[in-house]
Amino acid sequence: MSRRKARIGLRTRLVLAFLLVAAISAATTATLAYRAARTAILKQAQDTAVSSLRDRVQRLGTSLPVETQSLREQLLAIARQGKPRTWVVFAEYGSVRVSSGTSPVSTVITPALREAALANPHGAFQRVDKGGTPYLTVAMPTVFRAGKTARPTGLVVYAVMPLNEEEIQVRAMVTAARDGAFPGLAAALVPALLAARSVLRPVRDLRKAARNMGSGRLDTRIPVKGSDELADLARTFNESAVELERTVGELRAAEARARRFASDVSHELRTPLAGMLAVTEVLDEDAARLAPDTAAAVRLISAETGKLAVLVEDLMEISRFDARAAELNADEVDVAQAIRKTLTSRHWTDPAQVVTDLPEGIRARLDPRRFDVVVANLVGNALRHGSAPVTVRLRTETCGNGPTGDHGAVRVVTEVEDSGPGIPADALPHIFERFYKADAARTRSAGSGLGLAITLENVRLHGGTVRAANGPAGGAVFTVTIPLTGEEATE
Amino acid sequence: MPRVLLIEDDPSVREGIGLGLRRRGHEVRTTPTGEAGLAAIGEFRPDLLLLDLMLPGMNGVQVCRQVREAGQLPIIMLTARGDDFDVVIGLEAGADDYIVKPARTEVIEARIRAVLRRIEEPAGRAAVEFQGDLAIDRAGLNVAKAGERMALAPSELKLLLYLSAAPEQVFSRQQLLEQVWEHSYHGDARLVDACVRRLRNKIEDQPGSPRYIQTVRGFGYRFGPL
Amino acid sequence: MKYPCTAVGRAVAACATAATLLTGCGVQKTGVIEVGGPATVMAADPKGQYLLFFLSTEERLTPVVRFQEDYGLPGHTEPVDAPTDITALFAGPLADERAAGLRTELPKLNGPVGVSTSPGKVQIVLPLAVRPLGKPAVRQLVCTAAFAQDGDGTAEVTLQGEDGALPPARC
Repeated sequence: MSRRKARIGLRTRLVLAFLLVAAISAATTATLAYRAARTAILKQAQDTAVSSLRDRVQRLGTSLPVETQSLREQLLAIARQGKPRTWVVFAEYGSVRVSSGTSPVSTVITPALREAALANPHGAFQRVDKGGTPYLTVAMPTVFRAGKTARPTGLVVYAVMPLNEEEIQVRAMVTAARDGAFPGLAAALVPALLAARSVLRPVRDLRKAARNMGSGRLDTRIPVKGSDELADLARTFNESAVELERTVGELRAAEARARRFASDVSHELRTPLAGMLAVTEVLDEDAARLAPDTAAAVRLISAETGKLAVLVEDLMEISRFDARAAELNADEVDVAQAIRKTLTSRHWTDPAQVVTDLPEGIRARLDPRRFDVVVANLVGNALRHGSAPVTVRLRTETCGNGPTGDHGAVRVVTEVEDSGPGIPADALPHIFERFYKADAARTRSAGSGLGLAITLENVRLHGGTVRAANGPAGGAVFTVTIPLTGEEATE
Repeated sequence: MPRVLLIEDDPSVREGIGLGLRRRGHEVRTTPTGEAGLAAIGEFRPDLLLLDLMLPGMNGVQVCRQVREAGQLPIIMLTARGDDFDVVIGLEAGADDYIVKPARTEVIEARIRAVLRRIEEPAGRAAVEFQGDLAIDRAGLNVAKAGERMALAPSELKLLLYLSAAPEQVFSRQQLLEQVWEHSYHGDARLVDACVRRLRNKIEDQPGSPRYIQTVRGFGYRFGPL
Repeated sequence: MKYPCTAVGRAVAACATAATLLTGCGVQKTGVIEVGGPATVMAADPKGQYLLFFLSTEERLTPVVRFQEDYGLPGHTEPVDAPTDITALFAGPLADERAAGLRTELPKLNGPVGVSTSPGKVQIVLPLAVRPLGKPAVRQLVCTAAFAQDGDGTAEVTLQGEDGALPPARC
């Protein structure tokens, strides 16, 4: 039902309504004109017939009672002078029946006409239909003048005239009206379509604008033309759009302010930290020579300064991602070598700590610095929260139908698996959130709490994905998948 | 021990870095502005300039350009943000390396040493090598093109010496970062790219289609073939 | 479903109505319509003409014209001789009149008719009982007497019989 409703669209309905109006007005006009013309045609014929019959009958010379033979001769003369066309004339007087035709009595004249003619000395006519042919029957009673009054003589002359020609004229008018109506309706289709268009165009504009708004282009406006209901609708739409844009703009500005604040705070912290971090060495070296309490305090300050520097650095990094200011400085690198360099520079070379499975010869287009952060964060995380040995595996995979639908795209997969108890199921969905602590008891980890969030952002910047899961052996497995776009990028 | 001039506007940073470096035996002079620093160069005759990019008045990049015009004093920029566009501008202006604040003294010192370190000479080579129009004097550490001596910044000279020591061998950016700048493998490849651009502008006839320092797409750079 | 159907239905209905309006009517039948007066065929000449009223087959008063010459009287006397006229009426229609379907309802007359006139008034004295006379018969008498009195036929006629007089009447 609703499908059916949808199929008969606004355009169809408008055009139908337009045609309906056109049809009704055409029909009404045609009918009225037809009626007037028909009346005129018939009136002309009737009036002519009645008055000419009266003229003829008044010239009748008759005696009373009528003399049949001479009456018949006179009727024949009247019949020849029929107006507007030939007619058959009948005369009735008492029981005398005379006619100009073959039959002395007409079968067309109705008793009502006879009755009226005898009862009332007035000329009268009646249109009758006999066997499909329309006839005009005229009754002309005769009177004689007696002094000031006139009295009926009892003689009534009738004329019977077929209306074939009038019928043909009337029918021709019907045909003309009908033949005129259809081209008229076809012509009405043009303004109907134009009108539908003028209504539908704003509707279409509105739909497009609404879709644009939906897809986030809040500066979409509709040109307001005229002052009709559609213009009102457009104006209302524009007002709503202005309001929406303002609200969203405010929200965005507030969000941007919050981000800028975080970024500014981190940035402001760097300058004092730069001075502090430069002298931590001095503190560490001289701590041994201080009183035990002072030494402990000094070492604490030194250590925490270092952590604070890492935290601020990570916060800066995150706020760069939030501001979409992070750049990918991609270079084509040997992935196995890059991972090895990461492990070596962090001194994770003991096989009891980190086991590697790094096949040679995989080259990918990566940002080496960011990839280093990813691997270092994952391995560092595994060593901190899981337990050694941590296995780092590298492989490539060809996905038949990747999420982007690119057939045969090759991706680099890096897996970091630890030998710990794994990640609790309820923590898995949140593991990449900022400052998320899987172990609630531990209030502050050795890291900044942003490591995995930064890892996620870095992988995303490469167009890849990172997943956390628990392996078959129970340890946590982090899988980084990055498209190997290097080959295409370097021809 | 090298003499280090530190131009830094923030007093605590100036004092902290100065303290740390002096503890490690460096002779350190600090100035709060670029103008004062430029004045101090002639008198103090430093071996290396540590230059904060954000300075009141004359900024770090301007100081860097002036120093480069005057000579080959090694310059290490101090910057607040490693990703900044300022870093690229500073490198283009002729800085040899940069350090992101905050940094530990040991990191700063390692950079200083790396910048000042001479490239190890391959044994048994002629003192002066001729490569095309270039005359490379490995002992005298200078390069002449068509008989004219070129003013190369320390990092530029080191890169040219390193690449020309093994002509036609391709080095990745990561390798060059490790070998020439002594950065980690994962350092900032923009250092290499900026240095290559500067070097090409000085030694190439047409920097747009280089002859000496050639790019091998997807791998890195090589010297020649001529 | 409902809305489009009614829309289309309305359109079809309107078109059908228009079509029947246009095609279904040629020349229509009418009732009897009176137009203008009758035809005047002749004038009654009061001089020398008798107008006698008989009844047609439909019980209508139908005048016939007789001339004084028909009764052996000199023509063009004025007024006509009323007793003669009434007597002729009682005699009934002639052969040609009967042939035209005229008849009378008056009985045979056995005795003279007396007529007395005054301006606008006629009194007929008949040798028979007038009350049993039917209405058509009375009208025959009244009209014939009125036209015998004057050419207009407007005189008031009183019928006096053996059983008394009828109220005065006009033709």
